[in-house]
Amino acid sequence: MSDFSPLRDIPILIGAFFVLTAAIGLVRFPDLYTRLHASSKLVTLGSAGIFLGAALELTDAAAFTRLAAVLLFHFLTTPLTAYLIAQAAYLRGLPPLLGGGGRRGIDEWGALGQAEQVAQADRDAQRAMTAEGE
Amino acid sequence: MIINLALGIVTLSVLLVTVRVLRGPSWGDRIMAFDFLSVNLVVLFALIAVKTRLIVVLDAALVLSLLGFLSTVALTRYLLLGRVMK
Repeated sequence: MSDFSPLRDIPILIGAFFVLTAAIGLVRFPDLYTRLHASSKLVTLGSAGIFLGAALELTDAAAFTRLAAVLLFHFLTTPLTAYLIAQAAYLRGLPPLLGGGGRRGIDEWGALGQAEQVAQADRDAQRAMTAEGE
Repeated sequence: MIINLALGIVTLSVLLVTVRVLRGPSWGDRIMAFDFLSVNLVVLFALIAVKTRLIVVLDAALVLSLLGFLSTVALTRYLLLGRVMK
């Protein structure tokens, strides 16, 4: 490596490693919820490393503000999307896997597959809001 | 060069995630893999910006991350409530 600069290359390599680990977890894990665990946590760290390395390499105010904006946006939105996907899958009736033998878990919260009730409550709230506005 | 190595690694992860988009047993898997794909492409754009030293590519990364988040929210809302707005 003729042009190895540790300040730039070590964060980028760490970030690329974590992004690849997240992709392998996304393919290999058995369940939607475990796949969400792999993708949402690991890709936050991986993208943070790559954006840090890119900002240290480009050394430009314009690049730095853009990378900081993307990084902040990722930190804000990645847990949010993971929560939304898990909520939608749970309320649509996908039970989580427990153990190794393909055994389906018990429904601890008692709301599995109750998407219709949630949608009905959402429609009621929407109707109440519009009625209040008129 | 390290940048080329990182580009190769992130491209490999994009290919792996495409496998999950195509195979995913449920729609939740596909939405999640699509969201992960958009994040991966943002990372790839940042690496391309480092390699080519074009800051314009970072604008594309910013727009792509915003669009990926909004499309994920819309798809989960549609999956859960049967409607996106109104």
